[in-house]
Amino acid sequence: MKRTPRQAIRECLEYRELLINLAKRELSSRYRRSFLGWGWSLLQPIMMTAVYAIMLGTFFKVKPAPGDPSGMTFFAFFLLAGVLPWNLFSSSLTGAMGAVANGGSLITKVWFPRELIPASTILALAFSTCIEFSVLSTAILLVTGHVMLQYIPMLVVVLALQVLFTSGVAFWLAACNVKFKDVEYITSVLLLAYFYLTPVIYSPSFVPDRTVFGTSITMRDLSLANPMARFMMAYRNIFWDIRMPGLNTMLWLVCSSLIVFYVGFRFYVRRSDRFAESM
Amino acid sequence: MSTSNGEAAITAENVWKTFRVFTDRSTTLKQVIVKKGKGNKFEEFWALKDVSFEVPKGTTFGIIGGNGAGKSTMLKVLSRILVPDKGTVVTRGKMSSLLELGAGFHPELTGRENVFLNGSILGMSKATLKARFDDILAFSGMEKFIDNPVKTYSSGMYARLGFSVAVHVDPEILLVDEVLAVGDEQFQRRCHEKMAEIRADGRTVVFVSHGLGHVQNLCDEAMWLDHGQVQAIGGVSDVVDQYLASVESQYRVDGTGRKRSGSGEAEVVARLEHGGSGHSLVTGQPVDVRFKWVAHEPIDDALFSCFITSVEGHTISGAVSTFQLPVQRLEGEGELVYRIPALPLLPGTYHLAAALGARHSGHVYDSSPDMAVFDVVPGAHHRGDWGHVTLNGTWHVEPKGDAS
Repeated sequence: MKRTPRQAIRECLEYRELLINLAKRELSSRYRRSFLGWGWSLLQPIMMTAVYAIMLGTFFKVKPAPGDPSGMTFFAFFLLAGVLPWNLFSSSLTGAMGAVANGGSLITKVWFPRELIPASTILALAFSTCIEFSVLSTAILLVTGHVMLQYIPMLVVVLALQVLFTSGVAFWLAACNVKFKDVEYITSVLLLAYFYLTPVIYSPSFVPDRTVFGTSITMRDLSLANPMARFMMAYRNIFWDIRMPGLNTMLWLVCSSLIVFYVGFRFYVRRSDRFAESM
Repeated sequence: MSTSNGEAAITAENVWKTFRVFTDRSTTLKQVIVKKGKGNKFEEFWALKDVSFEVPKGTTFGIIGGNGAGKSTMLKVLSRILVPDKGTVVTRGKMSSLLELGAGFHPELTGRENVFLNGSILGMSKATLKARFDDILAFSGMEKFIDNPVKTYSSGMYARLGFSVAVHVDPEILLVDEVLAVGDEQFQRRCHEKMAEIRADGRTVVFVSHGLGHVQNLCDEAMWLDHGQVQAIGGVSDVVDQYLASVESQYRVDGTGRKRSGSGEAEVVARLEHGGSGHSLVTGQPVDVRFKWVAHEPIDDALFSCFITSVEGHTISGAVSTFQLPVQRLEGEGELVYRIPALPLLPGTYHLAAALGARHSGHVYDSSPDMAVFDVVPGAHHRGDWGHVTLNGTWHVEPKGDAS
């Protein structure tokens, strides 16, 4: 009676309406009692970007290379192109872990594919990221006059790959967190380290070009093995350089996302059989 | 029961389910690392042992048994919430389970939003929900509050809305765990009518309950589980009779008509004594529970206990002699008193149960669930209190202004 990942995917598709409803629940209950409501979804990344812009631009006098070929120099756009997708990644991980750990009666009293619980959280977050991206594109149009229309399909592909990658990690962590509550706390620390290791608020050219371990591999090469670094490059190609991401980057993203998703999803499907007993 | 014909809505074959009862469980990484190699200490507890049964299409099937018999576990296995360790369960047809009312209700969302959410969790499509929304609303009788957030609902309202959604799911197989007892009498009657309607519609229903009356009224066939094992399967009256016979056989009836159980090396009788006149006890007055015991053979480490239950069978309070009395060696006969300085029970009828057992082994020498039935009448100082017990509080007006 063990479920296979294939079976789980088929069941998730059968329950797609519930997936949408759970994501809607997430979206419509969020900010429900705050004064600014949905404004927070936009205000929060803008405020974060302002902090980074002041810290990096004013204190550290950091100036990223102008967009190539766009020639864009407005620092806030450089930062937002990294901060928005990073937020999607990090809130998906914490959100998915919380949703499963606090699933309560959804897990112990009813049955539906358990994958929908983290999936709906991530779907809701991806939806707000879409809104944030459209606001960012509009702002870029208004400030620099660059029209991004022809890059939208590519943006959708990159976002879809990021959702796949993020889900893989989130599924894995959420399943671990049911057993060991420490995972949640460890993750928040690791996320902070990962944030600085990934070129979210700096460009990959900041990483020293020095070779390591006596090989011909440079630190920069190593840093580009990180899928999140590649995602940042792809987003920055679209929002900062205003051009298509390179083929290398895209291939790397497709492969790593598929592998990470499969591993995380499979682990979660196996573990979810016993969730009701662990709660 | 290996015959599985096309007529069966549910076929369970040799289902085993174990739970790990952790005596010393690691739930943090630190514990895992510290205890590396030693592993978790746990005992395996078989909640279901080789359970096989079939539920023919269109019938109502009851599962009965005492506490911890495995009834709810069985239902959770049927509804896929738990995965059996061994054996298979095959269900044929769209299934919906009613193990909890209002699963997934979000407190911040309105009743209307939650109906759609809960409905889709139970497997209804949006189109079906839209079509049935008016029926659901009318059945719940919550028209006035449907657009308020669910967090403002009372628990009764919450359950009513949840039940209304659940009975409108319209599955081919419905699994129900004693949730019928919600809301006021009028609502309960409507629930029973709805259940009858579902059955008349030719749906398959599996029903788990403590209420043998309900089971006998609603079910065609029943299964009696005891400690995870099937004791009997068949026509509902047969199974209920067998179950009742076994419950009764645990007791013998003594000369005074009381049910007694236990091994009988010693016997105990308890009664209530109060200083005042008349039969009834009075709230707030002192009461003694007097145990008279006879030991037919010497008994070491005796343990006396008594508890009071409401007429509905809820335990209100219990007491054991363990912590206040040193080891009791009983020889011959004697008396013991449990003194209640001020009876906290509010007016009503109560049962007194008493038992004499062994402190360490849990062995029972003598026990009776209905040692005495008694009435409590109101005391002067407890007018306005309600429920089963008084909290003995007093009301005060706080002086204005200088609350510090």
